[in-house]
Amino acid sequence: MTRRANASQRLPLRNESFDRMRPAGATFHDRLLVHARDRADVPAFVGRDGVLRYGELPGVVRSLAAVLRTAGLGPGSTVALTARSERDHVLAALALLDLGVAQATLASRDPPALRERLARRTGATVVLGDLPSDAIPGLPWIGLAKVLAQSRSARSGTAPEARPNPGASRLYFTGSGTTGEPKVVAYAESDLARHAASYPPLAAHRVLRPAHVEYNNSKRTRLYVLWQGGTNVFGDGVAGSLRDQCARHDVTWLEVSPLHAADLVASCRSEGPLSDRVSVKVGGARVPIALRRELARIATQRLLVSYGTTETAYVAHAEPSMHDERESVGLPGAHAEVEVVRADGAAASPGEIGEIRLRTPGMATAYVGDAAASVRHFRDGWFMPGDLASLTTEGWLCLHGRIDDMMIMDGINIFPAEIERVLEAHPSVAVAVAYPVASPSHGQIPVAAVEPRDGQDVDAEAVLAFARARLGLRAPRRIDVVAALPRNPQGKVVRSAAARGFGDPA
Amino acid sequence: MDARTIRQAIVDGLEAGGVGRINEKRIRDAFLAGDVDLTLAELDMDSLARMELCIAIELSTGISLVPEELGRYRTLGELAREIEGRCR
Repeated sequence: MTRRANASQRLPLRNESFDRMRPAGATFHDRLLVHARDRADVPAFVGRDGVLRYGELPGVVRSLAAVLRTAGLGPGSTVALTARSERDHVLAALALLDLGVAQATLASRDPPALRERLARRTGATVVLGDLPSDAIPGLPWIGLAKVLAQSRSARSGTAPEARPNPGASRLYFTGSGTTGEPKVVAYAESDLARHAASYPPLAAHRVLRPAHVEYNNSKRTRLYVLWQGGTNVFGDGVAGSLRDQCARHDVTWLEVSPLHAADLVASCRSEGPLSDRVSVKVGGARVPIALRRELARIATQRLLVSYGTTETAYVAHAEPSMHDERESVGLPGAHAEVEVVRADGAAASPGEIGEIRLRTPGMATAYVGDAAASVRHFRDGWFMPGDLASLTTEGWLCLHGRIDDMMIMDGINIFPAEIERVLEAHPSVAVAVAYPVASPSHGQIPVAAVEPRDGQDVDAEAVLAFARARLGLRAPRRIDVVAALPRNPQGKVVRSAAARGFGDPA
Repeated sequence: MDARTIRQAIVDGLEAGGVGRINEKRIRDAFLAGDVDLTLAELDMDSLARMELCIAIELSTGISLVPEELGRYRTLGELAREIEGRCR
């Protein structure tokens, strides 16, 4: 049972500008029409397919919607969308929103069996895809290239039939699914509009996000940019480093994972720093202080580190002045309620690690087709992501890993993230992962595996002593030095795989 | 698992537990070689040191001990022989 912290323990509000674009029930198409009027010459899309400006965008979307309607789509349809071109994907997504059609991304990179399961879970009635091989058995397939070509030859589309609930079009998003079957959430268009309005201001930015739009968070960010009237820069299929792409397209806002951030450091090391106009937002996983410092030293002075979840959207980000050993993700936005609670539901004190719970406008309230996970993660109006967190005395949010990853050895709570932070502060260690070895007598014994930094030799005994001096009883009891830690396709180290690979007693 | 490996695990556990006596190289090397034995009483281990010793033994050998069990053994050599026996 949880209870709410009292008002004095709430986080301070900040940055009133986050509230300046309340959606007030408007649809994405309404927003595009406003942008077409107010910022017709501003590019909405920039990429290898050229530039598409806001002045033209509503007509392009409506033409596509008209062709799709002729193909039989309308309210009641649910489209499984597979589009390898990021620009085509976003255009199709906007047209489906305009038609009141529900949509779920079936990523082209996913194996056929997973695509089929996701199609069934989301109740897809038709596949809109690039290739006949994108089809799902038993569902009709519409070729995206053909409808795009038809829409281009049409002069303009007519308005869709009046919908009873504008803004109610559903969008399904899947999480990364690194721990099993991906969780699926459904948002109404109006929920997504709330997320877009709560996101950091992008209206004046040219935004590049190297992760493909088929990834949940990339698709959402692309739509947020359009909601706010900014410019989406698509780098798909373009050779060259991230730094090069930023320079070529005059990017001013770059969103990357820690893995892409490491690539960015490498390219900036040889090609020079990014333009001082570029803000770099890193999120999606822990961003170690060593990486933050390298980014700040080599790539950009405008480094932001963010925290959000598929279920709540954006929550917080750390500004450049906030990067220190605590690895904070900063002050939560004014839209977000963030609390850190003890096991009994009481508010944790500043600096005390507890479970985080979140509330944001338009947040999810359940998972699609997974009642057990819904009960576990959505409680009393809060979303409980299962993350361990603490709040500093300044109100900054610090994350300490997953609650499921917490180890208990002889009654001592041990946090893998804390161990990893310390090990990665050792000069010969690049990346560390901590995990438990199950023990009948002690519960879980913490051990760790490390990857050497830049081919250095790692003296495991020395690193062990380094950790012991800083962590005491919470130190790992063994360190394995490995050439490469197991990672998922997004480059994130997979703790469970490391534990399976290295965790057995010698 | 050979006797030397088991004795090394015991040494590692004592070091982790901050047991100063084992840091004397002459004593440590002689114990590792099986030439010298040490009583648990003379090591003056507190409860945390006993816990660290048990953890180090378990990680190296897979033999799980709780600190209270250490009271059954008068010397480190007896402890090493017991673990060796259980490993067979």
